[in-house]
Amino acid sequence: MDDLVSAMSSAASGLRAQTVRMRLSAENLANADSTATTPGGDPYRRRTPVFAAVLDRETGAMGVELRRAKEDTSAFPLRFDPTHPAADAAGWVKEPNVSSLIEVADMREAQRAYEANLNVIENARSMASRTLDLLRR
Amino acid sequence: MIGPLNSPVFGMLRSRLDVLQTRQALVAENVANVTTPDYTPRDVDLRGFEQALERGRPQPGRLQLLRTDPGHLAGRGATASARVMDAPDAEATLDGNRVVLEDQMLKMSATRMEFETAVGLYQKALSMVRMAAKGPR
Repeated sequence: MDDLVSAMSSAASGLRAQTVRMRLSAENLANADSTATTPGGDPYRRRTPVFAAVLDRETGAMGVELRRAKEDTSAFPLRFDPTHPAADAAGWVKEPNVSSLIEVADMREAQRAYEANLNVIENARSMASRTLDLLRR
Repeated sequence: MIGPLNSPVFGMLRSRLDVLQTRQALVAENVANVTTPDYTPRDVDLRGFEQALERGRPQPGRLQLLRTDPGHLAGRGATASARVMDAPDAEATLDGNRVVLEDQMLKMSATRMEFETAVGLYQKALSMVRMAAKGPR
């Protein structure tokens, strides 16, 4: 029975990690057009999740944890728009390095992983209830 | 105490259920870590477990050691436990993760089916003991 409980806690940590990932994708998409407010300033920088396996000492289960949200250091795309308040002296505006295609793909992956974790919980639950059924008869 | 519940059938089924629960917990860990870089999935050594069980199986013409006290050494009885080992799936992603979600889902349903079979057999064996205990009516 202990193993089934730890299975559920691992899966729950997976659910948590995937929701944070989903949140980061939503933040990135929401800020896809957030430029700087000062001339020549840096716009919003895309953030990506970094996952790591962690051992839960209480249950002995290996879960997953989001260590930190790392910033994407790739270069900002430039757009020529001298009338923009964030344009530098030459008229170039730095746009956020967010690609909606990548974010949508990431969200799909998070969704798939979330469903898989839910599946695991459902399975562990049904196995546990089958064992408990032994007591009833 | 020697009783019907200490018979090899129950011992074998109990260790089988134990191993399947451990396997389910490991699948849960693997699924939770489906996005963790450099993670290698783990599984129980089912073949080793089955061999150990086979070695301990009572055979006609071979005498068995009886445990009449919980303090006695187990010897090679009809129980076995499984070893946990690294079991990388067929593919690896660019970040070094070796979990393939489909393989894990397959393992999960297989574990659940085997678990239900073992629980069913346990139930059958229990009802036979109960029938014997009731005596003729």
